[in-house]
Amino acid sequence: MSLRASAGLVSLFLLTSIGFSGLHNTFVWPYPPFNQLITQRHGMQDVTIVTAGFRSLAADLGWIQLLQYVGGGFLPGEDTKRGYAELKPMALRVTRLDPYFTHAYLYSASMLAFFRNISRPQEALDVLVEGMHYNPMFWPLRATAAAIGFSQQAQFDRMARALEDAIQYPECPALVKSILANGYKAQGRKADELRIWKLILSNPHDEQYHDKARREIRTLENGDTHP
Amino acid sequence: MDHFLLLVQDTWREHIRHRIYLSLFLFGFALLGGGLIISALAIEERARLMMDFGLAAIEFLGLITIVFVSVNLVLTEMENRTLYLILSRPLPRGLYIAGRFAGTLLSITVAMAAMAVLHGLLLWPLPHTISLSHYLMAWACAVGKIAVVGSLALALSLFSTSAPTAMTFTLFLWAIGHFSEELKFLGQKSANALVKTLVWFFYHVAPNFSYFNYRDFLYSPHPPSGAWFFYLACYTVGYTGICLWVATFLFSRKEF
Repeated sequence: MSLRASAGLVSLFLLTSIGFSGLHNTFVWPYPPFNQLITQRHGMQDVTIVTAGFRSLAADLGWIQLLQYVGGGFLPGEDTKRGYAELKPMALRVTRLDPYFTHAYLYSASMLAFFRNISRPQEALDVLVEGMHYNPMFWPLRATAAAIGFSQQAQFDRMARALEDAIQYPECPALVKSILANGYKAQGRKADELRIWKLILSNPHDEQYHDKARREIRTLENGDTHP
Repeated sequence: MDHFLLLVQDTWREHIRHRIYLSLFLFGFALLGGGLIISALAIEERARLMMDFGLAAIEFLGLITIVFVSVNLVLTEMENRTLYLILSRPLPRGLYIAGRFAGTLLSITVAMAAMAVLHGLLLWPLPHTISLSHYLMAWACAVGKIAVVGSLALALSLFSTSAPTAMTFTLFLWAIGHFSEELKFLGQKSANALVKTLVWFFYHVAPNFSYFNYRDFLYSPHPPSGAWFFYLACYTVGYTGICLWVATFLFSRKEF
């Protein structure tokens, strides 16, 4: 081996070592360890995609499966006595793959807490607490947690104020806004209800709720009684 | 330098005329288009899914192509005996390896850039929260990862002299490289000295591909700092260089 080749190899080792030690010291692994992944139902799928290096994509596919579950209502072998019994594990599956998927926390916690046929606020808070741990600056999670607390104490006004804070976030799920609008409807606060439906209609993110918002606005503006 | 540029140019021409190379990237374009359909299922998170799916498709296609091309880069020339024509000239073997690798990397980078442009066009109408600079950084990190994998595949192909074995080893190291942080975690939890030693060895010797996954930080509140990118550049150049050095060493010991 020539002297030039040896010197080249030593400089490459030095360069790699500088890079490796710098990365090793500055790199903060941003994810929960593997043993915290929820692997009961889709473990093979998740571990395969994560091992191939596509963790965000694994969370996205988990998110689609969560939405399909919400649309379909049950999974094979699921305890059907409790409505959406697998919702919390499926939500945590997504958020442990990508703890910064804030939309998933808000969506699943709102469903768990405010849907009448689910109504499991403790599970919703469990999801939100985990979200707040990874996203301490993301205030809509705190606002939603406060709203759940107030709804448990039957304090609608304080719950509504907390949810009003949460929906200020431009990418807040349309589901949360719809829950608030329906809350106002139940309280007979038509002006507030109308304002929320108009907010949904003006946001391109909430496209799948636009038809419903148009219908509700038409009903409210025509002074019709709700069906 | 002229020899090096000629080798790069020749390798580039060879790749872009290759049917497999073109088929793979046509498949990549189709995959990106398919992302439009899949992302519709994510409802409000369509832009996020399009972003992740597109970046993953670009990297995955880049990986498959570079592994396949790099492993066969020298082996095919050895089998076809076209290598003799090149080596009969006064051309250092290190320069041959570097030129062939640079040409391969250039052709794959161009294809990845073309896919990124198409991806950008598909993302354009969607409400996006990721800035162009972050997207470009994620793409550049993917190119860095592909460079390391390519050099690794080239070195392994000259070590094993069997294309399937070299591909298997490269893909194994790809998986291990994404598992590095988990390996470290397992090593810390284990009480067995042998496990600890093996984990330490793999953690320090196998490339840590988690460092290149900037796309996983796109939504994190703690994105890597500027210094992190400097270290990543050093790591990429250093690791790729070592693999090419090993490839040159193995190649120079072969007798034709």
